[in-house]
Amino acid sequence: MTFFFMEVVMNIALNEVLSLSLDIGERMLKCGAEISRVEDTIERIITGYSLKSNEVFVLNSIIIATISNGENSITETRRIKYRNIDLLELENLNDLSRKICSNNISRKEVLNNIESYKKSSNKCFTAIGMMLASSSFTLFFGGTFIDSIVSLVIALVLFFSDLKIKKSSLNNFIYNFFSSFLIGICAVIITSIGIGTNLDKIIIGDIMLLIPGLSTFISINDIFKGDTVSGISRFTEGIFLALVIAGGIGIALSIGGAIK
Amino acid sequence: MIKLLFAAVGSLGFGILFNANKNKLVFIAIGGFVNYLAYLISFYFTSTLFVSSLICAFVTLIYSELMAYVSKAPATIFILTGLIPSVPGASIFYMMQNLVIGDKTLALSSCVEACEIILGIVSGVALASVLIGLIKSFRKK
Repeated sequence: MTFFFMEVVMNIALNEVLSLSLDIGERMLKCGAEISRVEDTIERIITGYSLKSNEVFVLNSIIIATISNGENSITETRRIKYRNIDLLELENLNDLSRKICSNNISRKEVLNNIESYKKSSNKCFTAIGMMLASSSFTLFFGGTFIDSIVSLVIALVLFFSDLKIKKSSLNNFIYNFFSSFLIGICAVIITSIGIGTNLDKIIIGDIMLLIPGLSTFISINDIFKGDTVSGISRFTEGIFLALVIAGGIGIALSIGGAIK
Repeated sequence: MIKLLFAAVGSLGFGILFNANKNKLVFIAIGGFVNYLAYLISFYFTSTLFVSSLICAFVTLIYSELMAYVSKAPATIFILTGLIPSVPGASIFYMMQNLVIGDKTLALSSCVEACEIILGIVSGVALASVLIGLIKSFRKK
């Protein structure tokens, strides 16, 4: 009877460790961590709970992990549907995983920590960041001061459309296509009224806000760390995003040309 | 020269947008600054887009790895924000604009420009990650 009881306890522990490590891994991947870092973190947490044999496989859309304690083994998968870069949460999760490795923290505490990290993002700062980035990149590419203000206003428009769209979780490509189209149309309308002189500089400054999709080019980093499949799929995604953004802008520009 | 400042502020803006830790924002701004400085210097000496974007991606990755080591945070924080000033947003826009106008030669030349920059960044990142991987494997021994 006692033996049976022991086995049940071990089973629960196995389960808990696995889902706890996958919780952290899933959040990290959603915040924009590299594949190898996620794999490494999950493996470390599992070995931190002194479970030896483990198999972890991470793609940029799925995490699969199996652990066993010699007698029983369990597998759990997590599907990652969207990614939303959040660097503060990533940093906190990294610290948390280090803490777990050095001294065992109870599952409840870890889950509380993860929840508290989720709420940390602030919408107001996001708007400020978007306005700052777009206006300074308009100036960076050689626009005038008035141009930078126009691109700041367009960034605000993009921010509010963001708030509406993100709730209904659109496909990444459709989202980028729509945003680049919105940027193009807004810029064409505002410059045709007569505010702002350089249409191209305004649009470029605002396009930079969609660039995080493009910066998946650094997925080449993943390939050199041994994660070929994820690296290539991210790289392809980056190329298609570039095409989609160019397409959205192109349609907006041709509509603008037709109006004139 | 004043472009350096705007590159730094742009990176800072993305740092805020990505909700980075407040005490890392200074390093993020310096990352954008370093990135564009490396680009300017290498473009002054070589005057080819490919080589200069290779060098500036390389320098940014090394800088990010150093900062990650110093501040004990993932290097991704500095890579994502630092590389942004060198991404070819402008070339992609000019390609599309010229296609809409109907000027094929200009469109082609800006398309080639964009490809040049992307390939440069990719090879710079590759070079840096090979180097960093080698250094890390030596340290572990």
